[in-house]
Amino acid sequence: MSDGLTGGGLSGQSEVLPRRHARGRRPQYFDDPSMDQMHATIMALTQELSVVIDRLDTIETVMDDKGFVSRSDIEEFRLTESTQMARRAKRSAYIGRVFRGVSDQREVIERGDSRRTYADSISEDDVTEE
Amino acid sequence: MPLQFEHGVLPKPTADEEARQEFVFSMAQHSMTQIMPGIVSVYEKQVLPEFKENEKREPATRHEIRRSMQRHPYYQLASSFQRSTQELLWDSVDESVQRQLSDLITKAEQLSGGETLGNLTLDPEFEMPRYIRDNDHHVMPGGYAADLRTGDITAGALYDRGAYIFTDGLFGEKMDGVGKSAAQFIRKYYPDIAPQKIIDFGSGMGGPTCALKEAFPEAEVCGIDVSAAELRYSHARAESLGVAVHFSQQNAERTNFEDGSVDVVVSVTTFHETSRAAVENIIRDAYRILKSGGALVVGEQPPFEGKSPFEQFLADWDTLNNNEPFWSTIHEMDMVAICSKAGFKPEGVFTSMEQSVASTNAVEANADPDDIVGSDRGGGDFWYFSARK
Ligand SMILES: C[S@@+](CC[C@H](N)C(=O)[O-])C[C@H]1O[C@@H](n2cnc3c(N)ncnc32)[C@H](O)[C@@H]1O
Repeated sequence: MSDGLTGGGLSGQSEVLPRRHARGRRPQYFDDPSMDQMHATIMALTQELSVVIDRLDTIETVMDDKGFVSRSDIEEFRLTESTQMARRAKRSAYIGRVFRGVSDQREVIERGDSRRTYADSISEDDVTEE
Repeated sequence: MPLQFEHGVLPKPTADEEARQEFVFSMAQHSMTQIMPGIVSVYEKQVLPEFKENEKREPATRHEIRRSMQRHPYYQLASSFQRSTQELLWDSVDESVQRQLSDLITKAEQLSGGETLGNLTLDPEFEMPRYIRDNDHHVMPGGYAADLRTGDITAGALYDRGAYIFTDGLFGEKMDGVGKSAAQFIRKYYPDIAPQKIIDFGSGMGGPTCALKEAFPEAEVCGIDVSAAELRYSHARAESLGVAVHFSQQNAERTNFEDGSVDVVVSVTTFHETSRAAVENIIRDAYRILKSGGALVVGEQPPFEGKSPFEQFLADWDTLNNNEPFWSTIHEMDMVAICSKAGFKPEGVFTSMEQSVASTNAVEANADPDDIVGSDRGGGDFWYFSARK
């Protein structure tokens, strides 16, 4: 039963099933393995927030429609192609905001920026000697 | 993307499960179109100039490129994005499948029981080939070999739903685009064959196999696979769609079909999950069971030949990062030579690039395949090799 006390609402299920993992050693990408952990965690958190955002959108849509909302309304709300497209557009902007640091880095690489270009771009007089 | 067709055993997500799956779509899209393309600049602006300065030459192989790229912080981050997204994909589908597993098994048993259009034959003594038994391909938990409980259908359900999200529906709402493409290939290159019997080697969740039956309704169509969980699922799925296909648990390396009894052997996106010896065995068995004049039609990712070392490096990502140990090797194998060795006349063996599965399905891709770095999700060209007996 989803009664809110046993984990209805956002978790949507009362029984927490053990997660299954693929066999085989997971590649290590970063020099420090705890960074791999950290990055995977950030992605999972970003996903969970996205779930909340979608759920809020459902709540607001049902509220606009009926003036109140119940848990079963949320479950019964079905994604249509047009809601899906609208949510995807919003979500894409959301993901872009969360991972903005990565696109900044990409831009820097593409422009070939370095400390040197930065220093060259301002006149000698403006640079304070240290 | 069109919503996936709700056949009788499709796992249905709760609102939150669906939201998690939708996030995976968006994250994958972001990673392929925004993050991964950055590694091209990393290579051109930083890694390549540095390599040339140190070595006084261009990198000769994809392996050299990989070793240099792996040290670059941006490449590390981009790879971590891809890998984590892949893991989130299976997590988000598996949580949903496991929650409703008993229910799905019951539905599958109902669909596969009693009077049916096609048969399902499982082999309790079946010996799983090592390459499937010991590896979870594309990081799918349990791979194809897992049989979690009596009547399990997990592998089929995971693949059907997971691949649909991953390919953004480009294989069609019934996940049969790869089969439509193969049918088109048969019509185009073998207009004189009116197949009476078609076998699909590695039929998986069975979407493509159903497409073959629908394209050639006169033919008897059989799907074989090593995975019991895939077979139960594919059979129930086909029955619910009203398509008559016979599924049986067999190793494509040595099937039980009679010599010279089959018009066309089809195998799509299966060879890359086997082994060097297995590929040779499978082609030999296909030759054995084909009628004289019959054809072998294999659809796969294009080989590395003709690609620059950097393009090869990009296409080779799955070998090390996506549990596809044979990927690198099969992309360098000479299929024409192997077919000839198996007995096919060399002049009847050819390879060809065909239109994408997406355009065969007339589905518009969400992003231009040219803007994507990494998997093209079915938006890019599809490669075939084929041989006539
Ligand atoms: C990536 S799936 C593709 C399935 C299907 N052809 C499709 O396109 O959706 C590959 C399938 O090949 C099966 N397979 C691998 N090796 C096999 C073998 N030696 N004989 C039969 N099936 C095999 C796997 O169990 C898996 O279901």
